[in-house]
Amino acid sequence: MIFDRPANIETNPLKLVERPEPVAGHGEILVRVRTCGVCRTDLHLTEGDLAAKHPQTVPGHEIVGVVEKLGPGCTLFDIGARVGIAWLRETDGTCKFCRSGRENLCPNARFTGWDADGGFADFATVREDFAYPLPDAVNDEHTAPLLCAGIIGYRSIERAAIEPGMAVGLYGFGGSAHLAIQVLKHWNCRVFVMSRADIHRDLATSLGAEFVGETEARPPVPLDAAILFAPAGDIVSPAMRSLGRGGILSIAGIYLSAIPPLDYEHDLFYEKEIRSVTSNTRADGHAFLKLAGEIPISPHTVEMPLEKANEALQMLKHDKLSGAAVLRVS
Amino acid sequence: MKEGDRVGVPWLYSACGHREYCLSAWETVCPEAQFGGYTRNGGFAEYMLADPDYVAHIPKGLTPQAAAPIICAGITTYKGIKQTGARAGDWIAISGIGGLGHLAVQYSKVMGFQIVAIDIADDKLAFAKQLGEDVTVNAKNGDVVEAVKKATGGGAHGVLITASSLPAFKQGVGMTRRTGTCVLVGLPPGDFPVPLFDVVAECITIRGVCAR
Repeated sequence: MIFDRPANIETNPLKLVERPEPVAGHGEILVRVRTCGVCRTDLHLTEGDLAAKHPQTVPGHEIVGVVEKLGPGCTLFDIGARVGIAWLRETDGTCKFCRSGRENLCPNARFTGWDADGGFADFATVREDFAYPLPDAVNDEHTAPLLCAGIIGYRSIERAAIEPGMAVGLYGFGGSAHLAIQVLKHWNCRVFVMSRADIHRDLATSLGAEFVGETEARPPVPLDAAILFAPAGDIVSPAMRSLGRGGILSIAGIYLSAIPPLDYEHDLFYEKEIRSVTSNTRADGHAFLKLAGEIPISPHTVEMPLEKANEALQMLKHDKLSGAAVLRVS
Repeated sequence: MKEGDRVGVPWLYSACGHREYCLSAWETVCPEAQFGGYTRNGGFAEYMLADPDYVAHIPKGLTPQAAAPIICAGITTYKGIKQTGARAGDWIAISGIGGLGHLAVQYSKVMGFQIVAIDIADDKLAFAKQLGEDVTVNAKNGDVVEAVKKATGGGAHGVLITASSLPAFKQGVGMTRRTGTCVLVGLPPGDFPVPLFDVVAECITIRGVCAR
C-alpha cells in the first residue's frame, strides 16, 4: 500500500497498487511479509507530519516474514528462515558513532518505510546484516510490535540504567510500555505506573504493576529510575520529583511537547538525570528479541488484513485500539 | 575515501561488522576477522588491496617512516592505555620501553598521566626520560615493585606490560594500585603465577588486550 501525497488518514490516503516483485541487491534478502505492525510513525508519515523522503514509499517497519530469495553474496540466512525487519535498515559503519557501538546516532542511517519501501506489502527487501532472527516462542502477530515498540522500550530501559530489582516508574502506558513492563517484571523490578487512562491503568495492574496512579501521582517509594513514554513534557517535572537521589529518567518518545521550566532544587539536584532515547542499535534489537523469547513476552495486539491499513491508522489516531494493530499480509 | 588519500592498513584487515562483538565496538575479537599479511596479502609489496572501512587516514605532518609503526605498535599501546581505565592525573606504569613502550610513554604524556617507565636497559630509560616520563625504574636494580609503589604512593592506577618477559608480568600485577588495572599486551610464551590473595584483597583487574 502506498499514498500519493500525505493527507488526513480519514480520507483513506493509502491505496492498494500492483508492483513488480522487488529484487534483492547484493547482500540483501527478499522477504515474503507475513505480518507488519502499525506504528504511530506510519501515521505521522501518511499525514505528512514527517515529510516523505521519496514519493510512493511503502510504509511499515515492524515486519515479520520469511526469506523468499537471497541476493548475491548473502550468507547469513537460508531460504525459508523467519526474519524481522525493523526501522533501522542501514548505517554507514564508519562514522565515530558506528565505531563506538552507537550506530543509532549514525548521521547516515536509513530507515524502513521512509528511506526505502516497508512492510505494508507482500514483499520487502533488506540488507541481510540488518535483518533479525526471531524467537520461535512468539508468533508472527505478536512479534510484529516487538520490532519497534518493543525494541524502543528496551533501549529506554537501558538508557535509564535499570537493573534487576530496581524500583521503576513508567509514565504513560501504551504500546511500548506494556512490553517494557514485561521485561521489568521478568527482572523482578518493582513497577509503578502513572497514566491518564483508566484502561491503561487496568492493563498495568494486570501485567503486575505494584501501584497505578494519575500522571501527577507520587509513587509510595523513591524511584531508582523512570521512563517517560507519554509525549507530554509537562510530566517531566512530576517524574523527576518521584526519582530518588541519583535517579535517571529516560524519555522514550521521538516527540515531546514543551517541557515547562524545571526547578533545580526539587527536580534535578542530587544528581538526577534526564536522558533522551534515539532509535536503537542492532545490538539492542538482538538482545531484546532474545529476551522476548525467554520471557516469553505477550503483546496485546489487534489483527487486521493489510487492506485495512487506513482503518488501522484511523483507530490508532483516535485511541480506539485495545492493543497494537498488526496487519496480516500472508 | 578518495584516490590519492594517504592511508594506513592495519593488522585488522576487516571484520564481519554485524555480530555481537562488532556491534559493541569490539571488532577486535570478531571471530571472522581477517588480518593483513596473514590471512590476506600484506604490505611487503608495491600494492595491496584493503577494505576502506578498516584503513586509517594518516594525518599531515607525520612522515611515512614515523607513521608505519604507529599502525600496529601505536594502536596497540594506545588501546592498552585506554583499557587500563586510568584518568588524566593518575599514575601509569609502562613496563618495557621498546617498540611499543616508547610510544606508550608519548601517548601517556599527552593523555595527562603521571608516568613510571620500567626497563632493564639504562639507555632505554634515558630515552624514556627524554620523551617525558616522570619516574624511571631499572628492573635490574632491587625490588621494582616496591620502587614503583613508593614513587606512586601505593602503586600505579594503570599498568601496561609491553615487555615480552614473564617476570615483568608478575611484577606488573604487584605494582598495580588497589582497584587498578594491569593490562597485558606483551606475548611471552608460557604462564605466570598470580598472587591470588593480593589480587582479590586489593580488587585488582588483570586484563588482556589484543589491540588491533
